[in-house]
Amino acid sequence: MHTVAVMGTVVTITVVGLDRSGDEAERDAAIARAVGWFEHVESVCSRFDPDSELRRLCARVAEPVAASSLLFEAITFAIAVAAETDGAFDPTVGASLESLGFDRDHRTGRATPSGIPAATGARYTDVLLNPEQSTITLARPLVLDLGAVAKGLAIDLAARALAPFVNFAIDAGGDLYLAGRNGDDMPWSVGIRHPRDEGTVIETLRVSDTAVCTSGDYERWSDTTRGAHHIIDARAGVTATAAASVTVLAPSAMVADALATAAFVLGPAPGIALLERHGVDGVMLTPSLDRFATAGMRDA
Amino acid sequence: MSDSHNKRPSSSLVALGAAAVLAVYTAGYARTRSAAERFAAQDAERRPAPVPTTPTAARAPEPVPTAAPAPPRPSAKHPDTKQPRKTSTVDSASPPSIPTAKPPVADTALVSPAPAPAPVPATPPRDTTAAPPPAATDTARAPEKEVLKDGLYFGWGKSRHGDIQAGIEIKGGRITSAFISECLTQYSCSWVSALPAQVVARQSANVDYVTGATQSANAFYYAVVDALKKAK
Repeated sequence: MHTVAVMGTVVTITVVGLDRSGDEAERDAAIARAVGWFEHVESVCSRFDPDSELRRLCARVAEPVAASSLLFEAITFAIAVAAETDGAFDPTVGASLESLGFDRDHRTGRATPSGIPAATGARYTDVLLNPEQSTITLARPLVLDLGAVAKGLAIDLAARALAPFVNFAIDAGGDLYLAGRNGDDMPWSVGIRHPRDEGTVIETLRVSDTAVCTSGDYERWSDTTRGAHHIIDARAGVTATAAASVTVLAPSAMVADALATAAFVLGPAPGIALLERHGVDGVMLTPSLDRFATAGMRDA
Repeated sequence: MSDSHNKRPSSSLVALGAAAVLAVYTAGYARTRSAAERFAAQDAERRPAPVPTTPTAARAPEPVPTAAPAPPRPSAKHPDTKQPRKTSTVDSASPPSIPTAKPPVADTALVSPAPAPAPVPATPPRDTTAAPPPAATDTARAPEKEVLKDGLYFGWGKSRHGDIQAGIEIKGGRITSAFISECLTQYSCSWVSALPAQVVARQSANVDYVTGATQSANAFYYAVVDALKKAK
């Protein structure tokens, strides 16, 4: 088990059979690569680091900015999800998040605001992508937030680095990728936590080679705005309230995480429809603890 | 009990996601190689990464080869292995902890934290096509063999609501208990009550992992990580 603190959370990587003899150096190198991806993604995509590539991009308006593959793909994916949800999910909500008080590094507590106001009317359609040149142009001042995408992407990249080990688990603050089988040679068991009771597991799944990500309203609460949390309905610019948590199972953590957040914003009927349209399974719990699920996860 | 899983057609976002991950992973080699080499040179202690014979990342189109029969990917959904079921409280005993109290839950969950050695194939396929570490390994967190010295250690974790001190006990090189030792948050520390047991051993619960469990509890984790540093 290898644990590091990165991306505002704690990442734990477990390779089953870690204690077995084998090529230790090779295994450790693979884990180092996996961890390295988390650090790399954070250094590129962090909204809290004024020196991140993301923040440097947001400092330039109305001009094409060359983007690294990582940033370009992450933003492209976030924009695709935004288009899928007609902007209910929108990565341009960064300034709104800042105005709700989500403007500082969790670990250091240091505020790193962009200085860009929330009320510029920016939408995802203001982010212009040029795949040929790998450039991004922001049509107006805005702050991109890749919170629903970057961690999942890091998990996926780390999973690739660990692929040779077949059986392993990556836990990034409750967003998971579970490969192969657990130490008992069974599919991994995953509990979905109760959205209002951290100590309680409300439902248990068995998965293998699957990402399991949850967006919950309990994750991060605003200190400055009563009742506000970190998932924004971009259409209204306010905290989304139709769901308490959404858990999504998908082949990729980036997909699972982004769709969980998007479904959270959309609420039960359109949220579940979104998941089903994209062929992934998921469970939504509302603030009143009503359960909605995709066809594959409805209780028999 | 579990529903059968009808295979659904591949979908755009799932395919796009898979393509994006592949693109980034592949580019990670070319784009970060020089930086990685520079950092590697700066850090003599870092373990040398295995040199990829050929950086043919395209050869690894799927994130994870699986030991079990797997459905086609990347468009496929997850394998048909989950068994959704209602469980009200399957977690191990995790009574609400008392702020500033001594070990609140740890002692009830003393299980070896080490993953059980598993009957995995004797030699996992050595696929060296994985890209070398991206540039960010400059922080050189190469995993050392974790040798924890026996004893009791304390560490602090910051949160915007205040700070938490965690204590961990190491016996025989393993964490045998972890607990909240000081709670200086403006609210009660009950919001991290479930965590100490998780840190000690998730195996003590009926589940291997909990999804959505830990975001609000960063402070406790940072405290544990801080304490762990002192145990090395």
